[in-house]
Amino acid sequence: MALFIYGTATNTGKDFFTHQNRQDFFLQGQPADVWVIGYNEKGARWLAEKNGVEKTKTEAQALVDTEVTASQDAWDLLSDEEKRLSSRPTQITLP
Amino acid sequence: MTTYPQIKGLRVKYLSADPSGAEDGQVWYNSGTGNLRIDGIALAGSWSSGGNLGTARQRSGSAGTSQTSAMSFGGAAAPPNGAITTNSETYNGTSWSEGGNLPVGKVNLSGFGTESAAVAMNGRDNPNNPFLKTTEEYNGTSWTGGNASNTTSGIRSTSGTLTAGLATGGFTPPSAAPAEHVNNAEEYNGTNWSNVTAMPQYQAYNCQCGTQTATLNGGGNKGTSAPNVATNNISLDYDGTNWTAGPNANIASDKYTAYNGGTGTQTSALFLGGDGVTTARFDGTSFSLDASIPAARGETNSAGSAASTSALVYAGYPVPSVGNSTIEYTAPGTQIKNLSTS
Repeated sequence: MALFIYGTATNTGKDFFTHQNRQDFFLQGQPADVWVIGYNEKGARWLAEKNGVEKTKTEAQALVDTEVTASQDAWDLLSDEEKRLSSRPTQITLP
Repeated sequence: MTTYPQIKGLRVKYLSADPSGAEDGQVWYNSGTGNLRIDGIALAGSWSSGGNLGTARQRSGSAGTSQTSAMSFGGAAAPPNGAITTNSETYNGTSWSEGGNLPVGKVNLSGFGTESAAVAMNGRDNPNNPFLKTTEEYNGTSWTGGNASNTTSGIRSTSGTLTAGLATGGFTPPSAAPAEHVNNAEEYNGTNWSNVTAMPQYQAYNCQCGTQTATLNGGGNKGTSAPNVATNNISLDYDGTNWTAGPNANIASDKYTAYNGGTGTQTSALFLGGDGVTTARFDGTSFSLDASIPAARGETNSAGSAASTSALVYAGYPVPSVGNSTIEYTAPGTQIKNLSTS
């Protein structure tokens, strides 16, 4: 049985996700507007209400990988001093 | 058979709507919705979304007192060529609006105070330039220059008010020994900065909250070159005169590296802003994990003087995915729920 729904949705700000949402289902934001959502009716309804687009886990992982790789490339261009001010973005494996 | 009145001493009320002021454990039948209802079901603390900033940013300064009164100023867009901004914005609990621009855009700056009396300090105006020790004051409308601090640095931890502020630690490359981190602490009285008792360790990136005479500092220490690294996993209390070591705030691998990210008081604080999703709550005695934030964010902003039970956090790394977002904390409580037989 699937544990999560994967999708993309743009955070529109206030009440994009509410405290009640957080009580009702698992919700985890990732780069590239990817959201990992608990696999239940309320989670699915939330993604639909936010005009989200459901993705397979593979598709979602690819979006995250692309974004993280771009961030790593950008970090690699920083000066040595700037690099000491921040950590190199690390790969993210979706649950 | 034991009946409900025998257990509770009351009959289940038949009401057309949920009652106001229901007590924990109270049960009633809502004839309007056809549900048996109960009050007092435990509700965990959680984070919800707030309004989005107009300008996504990281490594910006912040000030504020509540979920309805906060501001963000300066900072930068995404690396490596992220533009440093002069922009400032204020939050009213629903949305962000434009405030007066900083006279000079700065990144890795620190801030404290309120929406109508804020301080921006240090940081730098260009990634290729040395760090600064400049101070700017905000009156709710515009920024004016203040007297310089005593320590050329950025990424300082700050807390307090415009007339009673405290700045600690920081990062000052390239510097001589002892390495790039700073153990200096200095107080601001609204006019001048004065060095006070130095911290017992060199550090940067730490979360900090409280008042000038009751400050909590902890987490952080992202740098690898800091002396005394082995002892960096302590928190520090400042009473206006002396520093006292407390328990380790870095109870998760994230580290809490948001030098503008601590919220609350010396005895009730919330730290977050590492590169993970955990938060650390201090209850006056020890740190424990609290509700996870929905997306990892580092080098974030907070309404630093807000109560830790109603924290407001915004901006931060990575830009753009969380750099324009705001999250609002609601402390654990109770709620009314339907009673179900299935």
